[in-house]
Amino acid sequence: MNPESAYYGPLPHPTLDDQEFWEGTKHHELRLLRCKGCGAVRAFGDPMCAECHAMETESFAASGRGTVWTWTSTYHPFSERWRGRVPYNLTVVLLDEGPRLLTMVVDCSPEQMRVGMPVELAWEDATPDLSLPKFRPLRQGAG
Amino acid sequence: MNPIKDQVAIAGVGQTPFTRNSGVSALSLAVMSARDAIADAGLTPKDVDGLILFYSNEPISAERIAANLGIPELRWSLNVAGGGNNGGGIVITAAAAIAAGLCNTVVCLHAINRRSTGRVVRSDGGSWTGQTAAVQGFALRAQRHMYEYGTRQEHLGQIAISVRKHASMNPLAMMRDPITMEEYHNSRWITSPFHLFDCCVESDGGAACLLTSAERARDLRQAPVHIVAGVANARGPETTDSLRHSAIASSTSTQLLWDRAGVGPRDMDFAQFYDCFTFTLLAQLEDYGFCARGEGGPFVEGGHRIELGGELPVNTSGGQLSEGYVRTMGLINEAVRQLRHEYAGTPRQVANANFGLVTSAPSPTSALVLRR
Repeated sequence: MNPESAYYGPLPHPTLDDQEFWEGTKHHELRLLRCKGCGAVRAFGDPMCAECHAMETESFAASGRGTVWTWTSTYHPFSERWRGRVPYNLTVVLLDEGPRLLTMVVDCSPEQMRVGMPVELAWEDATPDLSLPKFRPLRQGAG
Repeated sequence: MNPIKDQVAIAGVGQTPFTRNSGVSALSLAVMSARDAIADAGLTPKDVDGLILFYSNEPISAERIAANLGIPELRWSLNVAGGGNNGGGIVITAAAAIAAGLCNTVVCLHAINRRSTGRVVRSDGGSWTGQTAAVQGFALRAQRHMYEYGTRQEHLGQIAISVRKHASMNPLAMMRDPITMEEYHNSRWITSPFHLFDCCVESDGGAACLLTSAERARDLRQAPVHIVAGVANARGPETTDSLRHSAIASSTSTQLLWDRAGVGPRDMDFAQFYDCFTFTLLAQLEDYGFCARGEGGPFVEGGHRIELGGELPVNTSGGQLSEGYVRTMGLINEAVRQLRHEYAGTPRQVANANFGLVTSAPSPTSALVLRR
């Protein structure tokens, strides 16, 4: 990885509830949680299982595939940091494993975006220790 | 069961002009609006013993407001952290405090100044996902609503046009020039499916209302506007998770409101919906039961139902889209003036206005049913 990464955008601020998720990104793993109490799968961020109230979990790497649940193509740069970087597609991806992820769909014009479009991970290596789980349209022949 | 019902009334309203650059602090705007609400009721600050406000990054507090107004004693006060969803919530909470005997006369307020307290958007660039402003969260829901129900761009545009038409009757509104559908479509994209005209104005302003017991309000200067029912920051199955739903208010929260009020959507003579964006108004028509889920678009088509003279006039001052954005508190004041029949003899008056709805969004949901 190039330590002089050209990444321009904001970085995440890992917390005690999602630091293991961000550690996974370093290895290009999109980690999810499986509840040890009832097996329910959820995204990182919430420490308790809403189904059975257990706190114990195991993490696993998701397939990295999903579909667009909804999106918005942002044209107005709401801060200087995004000037010259618009439009971009802020997107809710419904992962094949069930949980949703707020992310960005890249390599796709606003005109091409649609609900239900299959997408796959397109990692952006932001720093040597952290990559961003962006998505792109599922490539032809993949699968 | 609703022990607050009709026990408390709004006896005074006050607000500053809504501007783009007031040149004064949010605290100044807050104390001016509070002073005017107290005077409107025919009272003085010495008659006030309760104060509640909400703030996000505005440096306003019950302590500073009481000090500026010279209120000698506060028996009850609350500074509530958060945004627009608190607007109706602080009013019903104040009504509950009065009904419970914690205090007698309460000023409820909010004030906002974009230059002294920062713009709506974050200066740090927000999240790596590109999410930097609240508008994007609403756009995500709007896009999903379009997919699920066939809601069209023109439906959002009609709301911008109809609400602006109302603003054209309001000399105090910031945006008064009528807009056409062509101008709507040609206004620049902010974040799809929202054009510029789908977004409320960013403004400086303060707005306040004064509550006291209905019994006492009858002896004051203005015709009392009774608080029939309210919900404060309620959540339900359709609003558990912002990534999961296209609704703005949960049907459980709105049903709670109607059950407490003992009246329903058909009894409302008007509605002042939280309209930070056109879509929030459209979705709440469904959420509050004025039409079926997914029928918000067809309901607003042509504008005849939602404009003054229609079956449900909405946002009769021009709302937050066109009058000014003080996070619900301006909408409450407009509802009060309509129920006092202050615009009688002008096209802005809702004929025979007896019941009105005011909402605050997004989830969680606050709302008020008011009665003349």
